[in-house]
Amino acid sequence: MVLSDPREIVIHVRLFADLRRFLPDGSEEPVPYHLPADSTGADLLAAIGIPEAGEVTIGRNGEIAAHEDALHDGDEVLLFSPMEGG
Amino acid sequence: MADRYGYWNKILHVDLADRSTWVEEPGDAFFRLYGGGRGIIAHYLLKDVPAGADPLGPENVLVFAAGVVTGAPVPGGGRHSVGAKSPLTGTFGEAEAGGFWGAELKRAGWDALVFHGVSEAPVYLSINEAEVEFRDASAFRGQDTGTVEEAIKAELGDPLTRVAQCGPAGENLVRFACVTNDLNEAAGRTGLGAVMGSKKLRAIAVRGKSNVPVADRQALIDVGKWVASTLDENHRGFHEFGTGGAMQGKSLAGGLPTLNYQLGQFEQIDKVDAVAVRDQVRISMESCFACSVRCKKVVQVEQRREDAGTTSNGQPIAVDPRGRYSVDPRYGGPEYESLASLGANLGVDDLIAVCKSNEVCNSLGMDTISAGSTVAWAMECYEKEVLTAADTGGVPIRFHDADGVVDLLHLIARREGVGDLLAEGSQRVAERIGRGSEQFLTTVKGMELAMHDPRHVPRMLVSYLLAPTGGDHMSQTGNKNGLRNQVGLCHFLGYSDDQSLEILRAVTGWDLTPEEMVTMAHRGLTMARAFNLREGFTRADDTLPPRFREDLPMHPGVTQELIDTTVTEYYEELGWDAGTGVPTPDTIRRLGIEADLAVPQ
Repeated sequence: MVLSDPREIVIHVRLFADLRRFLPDGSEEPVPYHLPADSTGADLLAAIGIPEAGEVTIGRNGEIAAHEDALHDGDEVLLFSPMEGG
Repeated sequence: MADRYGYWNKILHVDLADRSTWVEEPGDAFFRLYGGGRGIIAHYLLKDVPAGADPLGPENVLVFAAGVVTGAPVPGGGRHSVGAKSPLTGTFGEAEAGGFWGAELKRAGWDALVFHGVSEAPVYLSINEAEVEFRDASAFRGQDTGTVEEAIKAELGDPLTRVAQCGPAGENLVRFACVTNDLNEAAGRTGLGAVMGSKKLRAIAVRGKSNVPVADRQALIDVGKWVASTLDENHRGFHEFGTGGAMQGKSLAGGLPTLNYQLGQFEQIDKVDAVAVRDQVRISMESCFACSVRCKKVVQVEQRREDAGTTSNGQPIAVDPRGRYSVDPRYGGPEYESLASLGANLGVDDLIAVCKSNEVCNSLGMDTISAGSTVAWAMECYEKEVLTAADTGGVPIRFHDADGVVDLLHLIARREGVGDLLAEGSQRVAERIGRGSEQFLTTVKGMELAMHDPRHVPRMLVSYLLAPTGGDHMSQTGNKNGLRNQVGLCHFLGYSDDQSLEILRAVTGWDLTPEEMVTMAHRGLTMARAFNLREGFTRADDTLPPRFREDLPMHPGVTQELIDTTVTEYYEELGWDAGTGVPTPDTIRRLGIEADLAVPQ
């Protein structure tokens, strides 16, 4: 992929708690994900391959975001799974 | 004895009053019926505790019950349950713990211990395989758990001895005292440490050398290999952070208990979450029996730089820059519930103080959730001048006061000054002082809710409303956790229901079906419900306090309609009367527990 492609955005992602299992091997956070320009939070979760994505909380640039919210080039995204116990 | 796997058919009864013991061999059907844990506890509470008994009196019984899986060589098989009538709630009291003690009890040849009566003098019990001995515990009075564990190991001359004990808080009958084992594990909830303290039973030391017989060892080894080889896919978050790795998300989503559940967001959460713990104070991660996930944090802090060396892997040990506290790694580190209850919910953003508060609770033997939540309630009362300096003996109880929390926890555990008042738990104190303080309670059936706000996590609602123990977050009410907590299988392990079934079959050799697993869970829950009904609890107690009817900035309050629907649907699912929650005669017969409870008329 070409970084300068205007139809593509780069999202910088950090995964928390149980979602750490989706960190690509050997990668350092934040992990850059390249997505089509009109992508949403749900698209990002699908690209990462997270099942039961409906339960995931998306933080974007320090604010909570809905799964259907559009992402923008350079967004810092934090993804959290629900948790119990402890 | 042939074809008996997963249990020994041996329950040790101990009469503390006359220091007699006897062994009960209840038979194979007993273990298949109850599975362990809650089922066994409920059996003895219904059978041996008279209705209306004082939880801190001689009529209460204290049960330590392993499950059929406890002690089997499989990840997650290190859990046991403790139960009694709760001195905090007056309900069925139960809590579970991990670590090694429960597995050691099984390896010593015992499935459960049932303590009757009250000892005249402080005592501890030493169990070394079949050998059972009462030993003097007078010298341990007031000593912290670490000192007592070391003294017991030295006295018995065996460093591999495992110790469960109540701390000074239990001796002082703090109503939310816990039973701690291996120093960093706690059967935290419902005040079982106070029951232990009331019986003057300071500790139970166990040593076992016998492998628990299992039907299919190779199948369990295969499960263990699967857990180890798929750690990244299935348990990476737990392995890396333990619990508490998603607190920033919870805060972003507006659901993090903050300032006694008044708010859902804590701006400083990144200073006191599990990521901060990992980056600043954690020295290692430890495991429970037979588990490769290693999700237990261990933190260490030194008060003075000159005392701080490096860890075994060369990492520098943290120093309190203000020279206030050291934090002893023997007591583990704060899990999610403790980070939230001793941090965000008190408005405390001082990580070292939070770790110190956690250590104080573990070393003195208090449930971090109820301790923290009682302090949070008191802070709101103080802020709103419902509690005044006249009530607190001049001690200010203010949100954000990290050092004040540490001091207050000591006072509570020792029942000194205002600590004597707060040691009763928030609901009892509110009932005593009135003045509208009930509005700030976060209790169900007298027990403080755990750190998952039902306004943010609606699926927690059923657990809080209907757990037989009160404001319990462990989803005991569900088929999955209900069963796992009963048989002694950790619910943090990412086993599917099929895998749980496979493990239970491999351990016991039983031809279990998924339906029987659900029935087993329902049996324990129904017996616990019957105990509560007998003690006078009704549907009116299956509710939330006013705090959770209020809106959070990002989440609406829980409505009465939702509570009513949730309660009714659960009653129906369990086969209880849809109006009253009384188990129906059909259900009692179907579950095979007629002998445990009379069929209601």
